[in-house]
Amino acid sequence: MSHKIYTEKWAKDVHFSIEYTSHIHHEESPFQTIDFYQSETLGTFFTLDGLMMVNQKDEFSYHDMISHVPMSVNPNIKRVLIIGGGDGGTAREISRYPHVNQIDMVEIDERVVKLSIEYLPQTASKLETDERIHLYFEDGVAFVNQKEDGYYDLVLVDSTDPIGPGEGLFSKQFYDDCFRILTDDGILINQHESPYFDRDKKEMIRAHKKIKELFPIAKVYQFHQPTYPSGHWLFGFASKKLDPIKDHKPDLWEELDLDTRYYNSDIHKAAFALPTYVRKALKNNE
Amino acid sequence: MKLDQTRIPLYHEHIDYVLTDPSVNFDVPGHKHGRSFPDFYKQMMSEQMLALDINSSKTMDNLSNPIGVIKEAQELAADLFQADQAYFLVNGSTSGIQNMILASCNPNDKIIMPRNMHKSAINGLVLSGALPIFIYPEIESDLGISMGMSLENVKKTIDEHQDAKAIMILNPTYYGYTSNIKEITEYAHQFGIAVLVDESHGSLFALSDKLPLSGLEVHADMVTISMHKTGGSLTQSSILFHNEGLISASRVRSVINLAQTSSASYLLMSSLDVARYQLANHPEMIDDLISLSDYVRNEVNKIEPLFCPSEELLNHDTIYDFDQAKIVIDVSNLGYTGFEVVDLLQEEYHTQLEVGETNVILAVIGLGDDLKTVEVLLSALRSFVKRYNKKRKTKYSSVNIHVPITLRTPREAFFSKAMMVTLDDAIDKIASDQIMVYPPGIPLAIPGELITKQMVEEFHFLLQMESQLIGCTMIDEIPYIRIMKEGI
Ligand SMILES: Cc1ncc(COP(=O)(O)O)c(C=O)c1O
Repeated sequence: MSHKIYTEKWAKDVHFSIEYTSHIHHEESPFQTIDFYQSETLGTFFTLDGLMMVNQKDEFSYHDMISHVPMSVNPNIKRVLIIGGGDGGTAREISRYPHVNQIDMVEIDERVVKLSIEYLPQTASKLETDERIHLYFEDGVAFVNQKEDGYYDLVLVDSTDPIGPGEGLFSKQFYDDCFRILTDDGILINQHESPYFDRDKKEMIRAHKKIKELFPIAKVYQFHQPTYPSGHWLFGFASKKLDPIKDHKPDLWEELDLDTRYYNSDIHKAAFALPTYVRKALKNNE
Repeated sequence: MKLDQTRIPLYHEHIDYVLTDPSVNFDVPGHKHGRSFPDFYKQMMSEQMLALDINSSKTMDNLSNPIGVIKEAQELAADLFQADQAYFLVNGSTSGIQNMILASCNPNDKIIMPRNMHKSAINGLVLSGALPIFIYPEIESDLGISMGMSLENVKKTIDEHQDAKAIMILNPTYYGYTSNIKEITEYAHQFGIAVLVDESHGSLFALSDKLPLSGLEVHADMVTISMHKTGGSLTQSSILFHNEGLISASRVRSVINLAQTSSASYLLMSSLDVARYQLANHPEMIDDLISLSDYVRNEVNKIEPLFCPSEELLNHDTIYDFDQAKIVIDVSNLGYTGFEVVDLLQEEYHTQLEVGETNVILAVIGLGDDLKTVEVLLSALRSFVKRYNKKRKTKYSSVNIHVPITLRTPREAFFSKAMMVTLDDAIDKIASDQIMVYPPGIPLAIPGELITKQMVEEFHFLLQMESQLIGCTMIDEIPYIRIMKEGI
């Protein structure tokens, strides 16, 4: 029996491999290469251009941390914009808040959404059933550019890595627009890559620098994502006025009684405490 | 009166037990006649008073099951106030109100009550599981305070809810105004509905013909008086009266014992016995109080532009009668709110009033006042008006009346899971906390009631008017309230 192994290059000489039981789907969309696999340990997972995006086993950490951190700082979020997030996991978490009225999801590659609905209902099931979710299959950069001022309370940049279709999402123009379309107590969360391997570290610094220049409050928080390079991953929290720690409202959030597997009110605070080498890397490049 | 009202059995036994009985105590309290307290406290509180802090015993009887001196003292109180039974309370009228509701209502039983009831009544609804049917009191538009219930309204409500188990009457309101309690009681009794009277602010009513009618004079089923408020006893001591008929004595007894401490304070209980003795043997004190109050009212009315309403306000219905010893003063022509006036009188003149609201302030004249003390109040008011009169009128924002839509009993709402949402998100949801607005001290919603769009609009308006809203939290400058999670 031949070994069927998916391997991802985390650094030039460090590799991450998964032995899969079946390769469910392969296609070249107009934007990228999409592969779905099945593994005994991780369940269904999919990759874009050979990079792990989502798997059934650890998707909860990412989706908890991108959603519940801002939602527990501003309990009055009504309109949410998700850029990317084709697997539907982020929209799923946001849709658990009854007070949210509108969830716009802008994903450039319709195929990712369609395939996720087919193969990964764990993350994508809400995309078709929750009436508050509106799907737009277009370029996120153009979408935010055309949106009116002060429209969203929360923008979540749930993007792929900054190579390929994700690239525009890491540009200054894009963040300018995000700032503009946010309400006064709006929050922007963006994927901040990882501090560990060199390539990801550069992107982390780049992303943070742009946001820091724009938003009065720009903090970075970490979480543990075992199947992303190094397992140590970051999000950026940026806002015009709300501080993720000072304005954190754990009591209100607890009352919602959401059953979460990763996020809790203690993790919220702890996530903003960064290892010294990460702090230094961010600070030296401000 | 059939009993010898010159007796003070509980007080005398209390003193004898502590000061002359040679026994050495090996029971609680452990401070043993106050000996373990530090000297400064002993001196400040007086050693004798500390020694009088004792627990129940065979000699001293027990409030949970009185068979000795407490029983005698309660019988004397029942005799003076003309009730079948009197029960001493050591947790204020709050416990009396709650006992009245628990004694008359089982879960889901209907109880009719005025919307301006005290919060202890709402808490009583939570404890009992009773379903409230509300009657809106009149709101006097110049003073901006809530008054009594109209007889017609009461009759209509009873006709629609003949299965109600009880009706509660506020006699009087915080500001001393009463409803037509006699006819209300008679009408309710025709339907076998028990009449419960919150007479917290009317402890003296039953003892004087010059004061409004007491629930006891019209044979209400249960009446709670705050002896500690105007009857002359120590703070926290109240009396619950019961007339047998619709509610049984055994039910009252077991309800009282549900939440009553098993270590009731003898300082409080003795003070009730002594206050009763004082009122029984010196009825002239009440006459003096009324003349003194009339004098104050007259004098206040001489201070332009203050206005202290009296008989002319009465309308034989929603303002049926009033308590002369409650000096309600309309301060709205000074250009200050009543809240501000109360604070300034405290800060600048060292006079502490009972309460202030937007248009009025309230001074309570008590059994312990005399010409000298009231002169302090009058000269403070005279000087205040000279110094502070802005010669314009403060605006009173009147509240619209919402007929509440009750979807759950307050008990169900209280015990269900709740969450905070913004005011706007609360539309069409069920309130889980009480939302109060001052003035006029009437809840916009109580637990279990539907929050309507109209109510939320009213709420926003009141917030702009800077009314005091209780039950509403500002978070990031946005108002939030608590709703039931169920049914979202
Ligand atoms: C109308 C009314 N009922 C009941 C109470 C409760 O009385 P207490 O403070 O003795 O518990 C109050 C107290 O202010 C009250 O104003």
